[in-house]
Amino acid sequence: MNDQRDINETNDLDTAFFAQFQQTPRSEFAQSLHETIKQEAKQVEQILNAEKTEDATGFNGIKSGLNPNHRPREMRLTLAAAILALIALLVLLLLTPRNNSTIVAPETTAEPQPHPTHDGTTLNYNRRIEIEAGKGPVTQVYWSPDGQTLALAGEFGIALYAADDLMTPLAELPIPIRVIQPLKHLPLQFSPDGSLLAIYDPAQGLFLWDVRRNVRSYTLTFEVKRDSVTITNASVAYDFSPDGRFIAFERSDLFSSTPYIDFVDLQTGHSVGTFTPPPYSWIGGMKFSPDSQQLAVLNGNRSVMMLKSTDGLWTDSQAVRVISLEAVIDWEQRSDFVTGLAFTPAGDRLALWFGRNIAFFDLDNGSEVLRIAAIDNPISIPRDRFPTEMIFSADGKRLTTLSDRVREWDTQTGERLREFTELSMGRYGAVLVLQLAVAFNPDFSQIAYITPEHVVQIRDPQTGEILAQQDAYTLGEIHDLQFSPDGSRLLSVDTGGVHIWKSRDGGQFEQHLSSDLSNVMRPLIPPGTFYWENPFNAAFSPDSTAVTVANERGQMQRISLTDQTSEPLLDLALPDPDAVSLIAWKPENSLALVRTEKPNAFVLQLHHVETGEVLTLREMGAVHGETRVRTPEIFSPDGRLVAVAFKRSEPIDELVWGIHVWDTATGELITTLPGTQDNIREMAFTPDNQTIITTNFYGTTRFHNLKTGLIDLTIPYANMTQGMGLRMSGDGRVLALQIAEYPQPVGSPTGGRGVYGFDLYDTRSGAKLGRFVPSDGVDPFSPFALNHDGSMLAFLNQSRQLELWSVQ
Amino acid sequence: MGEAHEIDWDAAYWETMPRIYNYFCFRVGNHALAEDLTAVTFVKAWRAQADFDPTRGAIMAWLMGIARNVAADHFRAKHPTVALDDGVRLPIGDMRPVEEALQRSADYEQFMALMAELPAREREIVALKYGAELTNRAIAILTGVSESNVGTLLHRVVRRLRAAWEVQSHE
Repeated sequence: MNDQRDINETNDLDTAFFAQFQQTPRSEFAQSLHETIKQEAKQVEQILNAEKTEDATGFNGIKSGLNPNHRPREMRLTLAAAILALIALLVLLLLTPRNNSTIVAPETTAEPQPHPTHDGTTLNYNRRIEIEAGKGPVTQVYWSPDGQTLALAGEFGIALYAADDLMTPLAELPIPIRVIQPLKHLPLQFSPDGSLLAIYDPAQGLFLWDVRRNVRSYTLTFEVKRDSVTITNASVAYDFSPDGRFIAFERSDLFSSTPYIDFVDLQTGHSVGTFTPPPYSWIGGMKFSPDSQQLAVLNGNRSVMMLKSTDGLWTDSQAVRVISLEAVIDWEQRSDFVTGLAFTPAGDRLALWFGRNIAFFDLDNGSEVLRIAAIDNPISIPRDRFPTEMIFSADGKRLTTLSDRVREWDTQTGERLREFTELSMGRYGAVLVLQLAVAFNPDFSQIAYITPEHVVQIRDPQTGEILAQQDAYTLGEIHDLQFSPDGSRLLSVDTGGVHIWKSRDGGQFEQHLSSDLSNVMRPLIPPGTFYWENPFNAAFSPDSTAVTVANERGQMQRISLTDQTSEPLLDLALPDPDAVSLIAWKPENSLALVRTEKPNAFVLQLHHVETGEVLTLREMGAVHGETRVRTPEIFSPDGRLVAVAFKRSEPIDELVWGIHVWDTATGELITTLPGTQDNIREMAFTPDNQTIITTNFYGTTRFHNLKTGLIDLTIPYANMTQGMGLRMSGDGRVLALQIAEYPQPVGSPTGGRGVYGFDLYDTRSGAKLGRFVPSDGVDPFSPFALNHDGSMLAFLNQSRQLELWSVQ
Repeated sequence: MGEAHEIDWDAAYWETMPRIYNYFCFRVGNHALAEDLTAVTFVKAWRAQADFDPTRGAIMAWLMGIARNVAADHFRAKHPTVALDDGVRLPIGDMRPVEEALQRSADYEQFMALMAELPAREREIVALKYGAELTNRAIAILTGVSESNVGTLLHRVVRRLRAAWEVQSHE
């Protein structure tokens, strides 16, 4: 109690401490943003009015009008589905005796919708290839007990694979998976025979997925209605019985102090028992015994309640034994939560993982018989986030633990037998483990895990040999796409590395009509073989035979695409990855532009890669005005100029803002283009080196003439467009602007939906060539690329699929 | 869902915007970037107004959910968009002596340097608590950490932060 009081008092004092660092937003910013969203609100109102007029039934796409992602027809279908589900639910409730939880009958999945075709406006587009990519990093791996299925999961959702084919997923479920508390909120768990996958979705509750039929099976969610507020249970612990007959899961009424544990027969879907723990219990996790006759229920950090079935049923379950943890858990170490719970194969002992230790309890008398110090990493991290998995060998003599290390222990002596050093979690040790996952197949002959490079690998744990490697989901969040100058390759830069894609037979993309990436493209540089920590810049050489990649430590490498060898170009050997904030290079890789950070200052320098000469372009103290260097930074196509866009600085150093252009040979400042006071988002040189095209945060595009310093052409934003992206074809003839227009009133040409896509312009005349609105939508910030002659457009759609389109 | 449209969005903006802005300041330690991310958050939120369901929680919690996604997107995105620490802004019309303002500037930089050393998760919780001024309960719901754990985490982080602050201030 003293500790708790201390925490509260300290927090009160701290509020005053932190208050001095809270900032008041600039009034101009606050007003400007307010105006922006007010205009949006006005449009929203128009939409609402129009929607009300259009649909007198009361129900329609009010939401759909506001949100471009919602479509009225789909809403109606959803409603119809909801009504059907409700009827099914009522029928089930009537038919199911003593059913305390809501169990929804098996549902069928909707057929995948064919991609609608796009008729275009002025231009004619044909979808050629769709690439599954950029799903986001996999953070969890689960292997089904039968060894047949591998589930890869992460923020992107869940992908199920046949364990012997990691190329094509069996099913994909767009449910974001994150581990909150590994024991209680187990995100995924296969049933013992591998036929069902229990999925805990914080938004929907717990449901079962039929792996064989690829349909949703039971939904084990219930709702509580209080004061007209319906609350779905948001917190469940659960476990399958090893004999596959039952699933036990927690049912907690958020308004009451008592959780319940329900037992459901998986064959019938009927409830077959309920256990009512003592008041104020908090279910921290549960585990069936190997013979399926007992269930160990963790009650907070206080005790483990052992339930026993009667003749294989769980009717009126009672706790037959309570193992107190008061003497085990060190209450001084408040973070020593129990994170793992397992029976030994013989079922005579129970292992509990708490904090850094594993304690074994004799189930006959409840006493602690062995303790293993399982984690010795000194790094202080939240231990409740460890994936503390315990796997016993069949004879129970050995225990494999998965945490920051993968280790094997003797369960009789507590001696550490070995450590799987080949599964080292990298130099970040325990920190990285939060992002990693490991799973064994049933006979321990294979281990699947995620490398720090976000590659899913299956290895032989004895030899370390890589048996399989999955790369369809290894692409992290893609933040850049580029076509090679010759148009034969596509480069993607993501959080996991740099990938070069090329057509499988060396032909042009448009010769391929397949929608399957594996038939059309393959990663030229396999994931994992070339990895840069947070690569943030990459570019093709002018002849398309090499790629230069830079990372935040100031290292540059040139990778040959012909023999896949790499050579270092530059290594600033900066210990702090944040020290380099931008790096770019001339096309032939002879110059690198580097911004380094010093205390209260920054320096902008040109490094001559071959000679080692360094030219300082600008050195500024942060005290003198707000430096706010903005990306992008670009070299002119001839390499003679380098331009950096500075954000408006106020009020002290007004000379700073604008686009600064330097001569790369002398380091002299050639000109400063005032242009705009807005935040410049992207810019590009025209091929003749005479003009810089910029887009700003508010969607305005400007052509800055370097000779006159004037703006030759302005493409204003229209209708709240937030066109932030800018790409030019290699030949400089076509300009693609990313557009995002907010929803329009119903009856407008866009039918009440927002417009998200691309406008294409002729750079010589400034004439608009046309607008392309992908039917699947595209996020306004998604990366995109134009090829050399502007005939191909690549972008990441809202489903994080990479789409390639030919522009005719 | 109809209740969603009875929200006074105008008032909500003025009430929540400074808190969202400060959340980003604490997260990224940079005013310009915090402005950008705040703008993205509100534009996204206003675009999805109909998704806000008042029965599921307060508008601040809803906005914070969007803000955290924006922050996550930002940290996943291309690094160069992270601008340099731009120092403290002297409020326009600030009549205090220059020395005091400069001291505030130095203090702010020192504070942000300490914040930058925190692990991402701890910095996030400090930003939610003292930037967005959320309660421990709200932070627990947003982050999935238990409420008591939030209190414990904050207690430890802040104790460490303030100890470092005291040491540096006396150096």
